[in-house]
Amino acid sequence: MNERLQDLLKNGPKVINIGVEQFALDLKEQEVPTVQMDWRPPQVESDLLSKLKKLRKK
Amino acid sequence: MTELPCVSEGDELFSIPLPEAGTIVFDPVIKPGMPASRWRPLLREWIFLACDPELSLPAKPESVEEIITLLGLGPGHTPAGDDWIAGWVVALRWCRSVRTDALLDEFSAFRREGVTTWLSESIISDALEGRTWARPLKLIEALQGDFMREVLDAAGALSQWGHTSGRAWLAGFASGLETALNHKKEIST
Amino acid sequence: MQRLEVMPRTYYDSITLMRVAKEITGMEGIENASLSMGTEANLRILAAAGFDLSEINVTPNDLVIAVSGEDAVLDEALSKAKEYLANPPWKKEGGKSESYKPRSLDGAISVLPEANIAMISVAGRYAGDVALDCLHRGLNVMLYSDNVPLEKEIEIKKLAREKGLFVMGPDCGTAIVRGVAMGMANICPTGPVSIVAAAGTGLQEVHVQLAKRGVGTLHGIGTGGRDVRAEVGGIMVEMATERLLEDDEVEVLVVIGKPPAPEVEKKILERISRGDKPAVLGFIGGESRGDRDGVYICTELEETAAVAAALAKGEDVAEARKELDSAEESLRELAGKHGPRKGWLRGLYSGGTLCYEAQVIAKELLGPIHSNTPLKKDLKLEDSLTSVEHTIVDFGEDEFTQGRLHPMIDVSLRAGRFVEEAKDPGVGVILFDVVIGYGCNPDPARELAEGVLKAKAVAGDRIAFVASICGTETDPQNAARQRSILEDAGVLVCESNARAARLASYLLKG
Repeated sequence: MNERLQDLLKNGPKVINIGVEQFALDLKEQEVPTVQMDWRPPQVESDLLSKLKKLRKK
Repeated sequence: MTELPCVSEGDELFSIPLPEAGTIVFDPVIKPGMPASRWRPLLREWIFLACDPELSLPAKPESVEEIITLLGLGPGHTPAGDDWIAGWVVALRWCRSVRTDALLDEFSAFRREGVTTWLSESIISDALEGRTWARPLKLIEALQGDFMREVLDAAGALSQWGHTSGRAWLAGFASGLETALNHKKEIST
Repeated sequence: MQRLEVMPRTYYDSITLMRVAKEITGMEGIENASLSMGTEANLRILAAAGFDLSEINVTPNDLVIAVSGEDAVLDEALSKAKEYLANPPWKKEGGKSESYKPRSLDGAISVLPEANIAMISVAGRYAGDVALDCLHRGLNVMLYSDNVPLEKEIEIKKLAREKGLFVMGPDCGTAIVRGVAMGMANICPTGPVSIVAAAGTGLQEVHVQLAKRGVGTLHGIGTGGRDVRAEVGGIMVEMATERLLEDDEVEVLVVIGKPPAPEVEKKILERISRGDKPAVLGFIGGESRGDRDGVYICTELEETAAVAAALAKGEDVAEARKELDSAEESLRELAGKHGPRKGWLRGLYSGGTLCYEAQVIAKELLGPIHSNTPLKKDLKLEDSLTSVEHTIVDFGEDEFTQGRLHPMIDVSLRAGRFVEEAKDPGVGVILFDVVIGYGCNPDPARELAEGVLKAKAVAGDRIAFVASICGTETDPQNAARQRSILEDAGVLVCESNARAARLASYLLKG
């Protein structure tokens, strides 16, 4: 069995929470090791902007 | 004396007798060192804090010349560009090497006075001389250790500094670290 | 007067939006304030609330701020809303500063290298790729998000199977791992039973019903509702079943969901028969009958729990089933005592499986049931907000949750619907579920009871209210307390969803 799955089932969850912060708070209340991510949607625009900037320099 | 005296432009200041010296509670000196390798992924993401819309700073300026253009960039008493530079300088002082010294010398040579606020200028000058404030030093200490709570708390405290200052500082700091550490890698390989 | 503003390409999570809306609604002169992403569902709800959407141009990636009230304060309300979004007022000034939250997955893993599962609740159109990233880094995944495209789900699960990792979801709102409540789940003791659930509230109901019978659950593995469809092929149900059958901490296995595709059901039965532990299959409203050789077939959630509890306690399964039959008798009597009602049944549900089970039970007693998630296609409501004859609606369905909080968190839509239904003179019984536990509204009974009282003011004694509470006394909301709030408002509270659906039907059947 996959090690991390084995660990999950035998030792309980250790969680990276991506999204609604309340879930992380609920997990912490149950004393589950948890890290809350500050997830943001991928920034397509800034990639474009930096590519345009590079073009302008040339 | 519990309050600082009120002064106006043009006033002459006299030296004020201090009470008997006690223990030093804060040492601003940046002692050379480097972050534990565990935190590299976190450092990498801090570089891109510069891309936050309120900051709009370049994430990876390519030369000292480009970095100089950040001086005074942005509103407020410490414009975001200056905060970025302050972080960058502290990083290069922390992970100190011949190369980082050279970069900072180059920076100092390009630097002109009166381009930005007096506060930023002081902060940057202090950093060039190897001194910084409590929050950055706390982060530096945490990054040398292995405790996630300490790193997250220190980074959190820094990133919430002012409205954009903290994030800009972290972005410059992380960018400086990447430069300093990549160079160290180059030497060892 | 009203004003609308669109902030293009602006993203905030639904909880922040709900809180800012609450702050603005509290402003003087403001009647109503709503902040929501420009999804179809939200635009429909805004239109229904009387906002004029004809001038605006909006996509689901844009934020819509809508305020109504006195003309003089509307501009201020709009600017305050934007200010609060940038600087949330509920984050205490000068208090303990918040810990840094990593923005990258690698950053998060560097902080918690022992992490073994990622819990994902971002918008559906992004969630799939986030799940793939997590799997590539060797993390199990709980994918709470819904509105993840089917093709993405298949891609995710194939990768998970390859790596031997669990993906619970998409649309998996509930999971239990070693007794830990993940997502919307209840606090119950751990014990010899483990559950594989292609049904969120199905898992919650069975989990709670087992606890009521003194039997604990170790793992409750959600698979998402679509897993048992032919296209997905039951990948996760199969994986989870395998793992739990191998696990020596598990003594009784339970598998629940809506009836799977025939080939998937066959696969499950086959795998379970090869195992050496008793298994209970609860395919709600399914056709299969007949217990065989250590495999017990049930068609209702409480029944599934009762049979599993009997097996766990070494008691007689037939006895357990008999007990349920006599409970049914008492409900008939209670209906008679309470006084039959005339007219239509209107069910307003937050839990999909509970809604489904209610339809299965009510249709036997009352005839065709209309729904936004009907048992038969021809009974689908044209407009989910307009009921037809006997109607039971699932407010947790995608059409209501795009860019909106789940009805188990934000009960206002349902509480409002009580009044709407009460205005219909043909309605005799209103049936609803109250799901509590982690992840749910901190006090749903209170707001729902307010709605009930407003409805009674309109309908008098014409309408009987019937409900069940999916939860326990160890849940943060305390089931006993929730029950008494509802009973004080005159609601008949039953011990399980099945009993509530039956009572509601008996009240109308006469």
